[in-house]
Amino acid sequence: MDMLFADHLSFKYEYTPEDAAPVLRDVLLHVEKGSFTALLGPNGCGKSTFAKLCNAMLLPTGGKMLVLGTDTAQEDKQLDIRRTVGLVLQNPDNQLVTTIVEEDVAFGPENLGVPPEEIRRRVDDALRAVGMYDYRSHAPHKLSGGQKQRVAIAGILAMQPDCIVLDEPTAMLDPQGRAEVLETMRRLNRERGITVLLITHYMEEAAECDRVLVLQNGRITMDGTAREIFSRPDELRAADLDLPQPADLCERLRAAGIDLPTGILNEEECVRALVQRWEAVACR
Amino acid sequence: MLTDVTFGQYYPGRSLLHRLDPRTKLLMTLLYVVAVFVPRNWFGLGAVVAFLALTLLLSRLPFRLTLRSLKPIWPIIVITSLINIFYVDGTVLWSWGFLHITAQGLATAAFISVRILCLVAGSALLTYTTTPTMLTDAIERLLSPLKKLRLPVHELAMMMTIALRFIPTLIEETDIIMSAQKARGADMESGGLLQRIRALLPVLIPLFVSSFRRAYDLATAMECRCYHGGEGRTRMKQPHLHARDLLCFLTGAALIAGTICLNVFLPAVI
Repeated sequence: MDMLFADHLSFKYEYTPEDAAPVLRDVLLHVEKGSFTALLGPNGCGKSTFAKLCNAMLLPTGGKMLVLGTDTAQEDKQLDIRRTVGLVLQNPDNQLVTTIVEEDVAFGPENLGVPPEEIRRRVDDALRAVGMYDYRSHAPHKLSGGQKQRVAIAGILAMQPDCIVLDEPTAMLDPQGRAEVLETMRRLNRERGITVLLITHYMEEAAECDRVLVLQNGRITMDGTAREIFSRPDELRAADLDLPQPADLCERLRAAGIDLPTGILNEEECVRALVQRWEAVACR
Repeated sequence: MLTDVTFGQYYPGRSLLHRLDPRTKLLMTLLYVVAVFVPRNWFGLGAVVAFLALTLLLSRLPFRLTLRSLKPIWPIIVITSLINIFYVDGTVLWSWGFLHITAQGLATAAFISVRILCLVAGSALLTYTTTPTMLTDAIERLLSPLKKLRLPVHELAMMMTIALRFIPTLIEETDIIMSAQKARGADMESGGLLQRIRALLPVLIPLFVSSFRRAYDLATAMECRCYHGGEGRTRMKQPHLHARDLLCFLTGAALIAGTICLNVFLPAVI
């Protein structure tokens, strides 16, 4: 069974004019259990809407969204779905509810009616998992952006979800905060088998995911491994997206007539390819 | 510049006062406020000051925190003292035209100043040693009998928690907006009162708009974390009443009884 299954899903906001195109159109998408997927797309392509459809914050106006086989439109299953699929939002400031880190992490399990001792255990565990245990009695507004976002992740983690959807969690963070958040998510995916759907507009982040999806004008237009997707620069550019910098560099060098392999994702691969090329030229 | 608001900020610690049940602390603060206003002579007030000193010691808070909590009330103390010094009748010590200072006036001014200091230092102690969440939790628990009257007690407590959580965030944002407006040439430090109030509008309107956006985001985040009102909710931190809570109430009652006795048996200053 898929973690998420968008079955010919369409969505239109109530306030969208009758004749305007829906935000999402006929999206057919499987997200497997335990996978680490990036969802890319230009501004206003419906990424955030899709995130909210994953945990029944919004309900599809056409087609279905299934979470572990359960239709999100079932009203009596809503809490269960929101526990199963945790959603982390963009602005870390606006999703922390209380004034002490550990009490904020406890907010989710408290809402679920978990017994107090069990909440304590989960909160400690979640804070350790994101590396914020030492800050448990701090006030959220005194933390850095990356730390706040990790606390927000811990808050979701304490509900023991099977899947975490992150809606541009790093958009408001500095590079260090971005690295912290991404590293945390990768570890949770690896060690706990939590399915991750990362919505982002940083190509470098997408390059590190197992699978990359491109959403464009309400449709999934590209779907494949990071290497496949970033070997198709022209299609990406058509979707208003860039290549990750190392891939972009190699692409330009290739355009200038230097023979380099395609599908380069990160700096290390880029350097290796350049060195190989250099040695090949020098030895000749 | 706005961010050094300290009143109402929790100061982490593990002292006896920190660990005391928040309900006890809240009720004790109410008792204490009553006790501050009961004494009519220095002995009674001395008892209150002694009680305050004891709780300050038990809280193990740095003394500068207490001093800082007193900082914003200096103007009030100065104004009330001046009024008392010049308006209370009695033995005239010094006079100039229609102004005259009396011995009783000085005594009253000193008495009331100490009273105000005790009041503020004591109530600041509550917020220094209790997290806002624990405090609102205590309020929720103390008011829970009113749920039977269909009063939205949980909702009120939740609103207080959120308000307290967002005060520092909004203060920070106000600072940013003010800087942004100043960078565009807004003048906020000169002109008359009316002009200054008008100069605040370009700060307040963006703040207002962004608060709504924050509220919307927060509501989404809360729903994502399965918030569905107070029903079926549990709490991580379960307060329990101990023998020490009873001891607290006894001390509080003794303090009030003692000051009343001192009022009855000793001459009043005011």
